[in-house]
Amino acid sequence: MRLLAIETTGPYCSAAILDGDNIEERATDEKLNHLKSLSPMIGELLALGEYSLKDMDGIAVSVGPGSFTGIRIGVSTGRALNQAGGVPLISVPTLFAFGCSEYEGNKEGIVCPMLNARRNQVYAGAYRDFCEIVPGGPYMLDEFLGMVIAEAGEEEHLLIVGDGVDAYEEQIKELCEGRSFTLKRKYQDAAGVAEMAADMLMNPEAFGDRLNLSYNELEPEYMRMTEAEQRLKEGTLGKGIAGKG
Amino acid sequence: MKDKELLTLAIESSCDETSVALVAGGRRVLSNIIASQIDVHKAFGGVVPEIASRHHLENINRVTDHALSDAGVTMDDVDFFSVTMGPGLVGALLIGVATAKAYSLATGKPLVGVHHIQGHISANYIEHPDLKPPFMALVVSGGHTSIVRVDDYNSCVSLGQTRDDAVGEAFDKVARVIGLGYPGGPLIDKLAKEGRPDAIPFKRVFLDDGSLDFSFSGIKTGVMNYVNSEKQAGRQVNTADVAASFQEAVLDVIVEKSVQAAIDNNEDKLVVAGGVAANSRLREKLKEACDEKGIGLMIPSPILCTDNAAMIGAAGYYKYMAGEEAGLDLDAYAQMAF
Ligand SMILES: [Zn+2]
Repeated sequence: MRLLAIETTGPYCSAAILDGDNIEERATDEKLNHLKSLSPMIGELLALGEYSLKDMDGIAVSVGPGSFTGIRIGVSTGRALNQAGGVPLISVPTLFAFGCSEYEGNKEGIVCPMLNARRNQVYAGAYRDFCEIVPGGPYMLDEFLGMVIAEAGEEEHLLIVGDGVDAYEEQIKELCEGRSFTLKRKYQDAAGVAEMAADMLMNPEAFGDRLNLSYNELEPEYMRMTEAEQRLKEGTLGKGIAGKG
Repeated sequence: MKDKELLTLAIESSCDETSVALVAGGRRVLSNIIASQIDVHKAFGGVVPEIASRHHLENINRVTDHALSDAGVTMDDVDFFSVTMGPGLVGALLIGVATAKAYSLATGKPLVGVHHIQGHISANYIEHPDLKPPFMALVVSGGHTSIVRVDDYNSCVSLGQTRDDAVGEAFDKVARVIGLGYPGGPLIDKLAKEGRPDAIPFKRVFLDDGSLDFSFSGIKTGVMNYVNSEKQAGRQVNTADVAASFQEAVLDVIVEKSVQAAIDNNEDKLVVAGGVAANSRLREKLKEACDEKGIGLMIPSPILCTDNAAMIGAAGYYKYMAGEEAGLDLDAYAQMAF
């Protein structure tokens, strides 16, 4: 099986090609450089393996949640590759992929991928042995950790990973007081997306609606409405709307 | 049989229109599909960048399909891709740029990045088949107000621009002050027809002697002050008079400066571009001034004045012919000099 994978939802952007048991990955070492770097990295990976895009069995895109802009760069790139190149798309849930890839290297306890959603909010999920025990979604930080702790065994170890750790280190330490836990500074990457996609292809019953998609079927999973829509709904719309650019 | 014209698939997504066009030989438009988001943003009284970006992503691939089928071609027939890389809303631009780069990557066909203003100017190559540089250009839109000397297809010099609000922005803001809604340009244009342009003497801001720069932030305050003092005096505000007088004050400056720029640079053609070029009073006034000075005036039809991808295809063609291809590392830029 050969897959191209794209991960643009976090602070760093990466692309990977999985070919059988082998994964080759390229990542930026600069934050917020996603648009500029993504296509060249894909081009480089294809050239390296002497592949053409059509040699791929699928293009796996991490569709969110995460940075809204990042999600869009990944999804629009994936879609356009499919529209012009015909290779089917795989919609990979970001938190699930991140959680499973961290569990793979850890194989114990509960893994909580946690992404910073600002103002004490996170996009997060909790995974034990490749199963979702707290569904990936938008939460208040304390609400999420409360749910995890309620699900976890008393002695069960928690691994919390992602840019949510950068943002909320002190609060997490307080909320996990008295528990066994590790905070890990690592971010979601395309290798994890590729592995998740390969698993998904092997379990079509569970992931059928995320496989074999065309460009008009690959949807971003923002998991939050825009601030302007939120304020319109609440009736607090007023300042902060840009003029025509 | 003449040589095959090079075919470009062009993408524009710098603000609130998602547009894809197919243009042959830089001047022949096979299709030009524009998905406007105006209705989406009306509820917010202006363009909300995050919402614009979400809609661009929602629309862009379907707009491409539509453009290809309208033109009766497929992706295989395309020779190269053209895309707006700036200036504009970065979040909006990047949908077009990421998409164009991925098309290029998937097909192995070249890519050209286009300056949005260069695109607006190039709309005139489509509308006026015999137009060739050099000429003077006036670009007036929601985001831009510039006087540009176009020396060649890929070489132009900005001689003046707004120091604060763009002219379209001033129209939007004044429309809000007098309760017209969004977008303000066409609404003011329409209402102004019922008012007297000399009813209220709003200040014409010419800045320093000989400067080709503009400033439109003051006039909005002028309109606001006028409306408030009328209300305080218990008088009914005649919004048609306000619209007509405001519009006249702004256009007087624009017309005078652009015609002067043409004369000072010995250009016998003035080319107008951008959304505000659709303003009927601007067209009238420019026609009058250019006729008087013996300057040829060219303005594209309204559909080519708004943001559209055909104009990006026209500009992209001349960049491609000059060998100015972009790499896959093409980026999107909020601000961009020529
Ligand atoms: Zn424009």
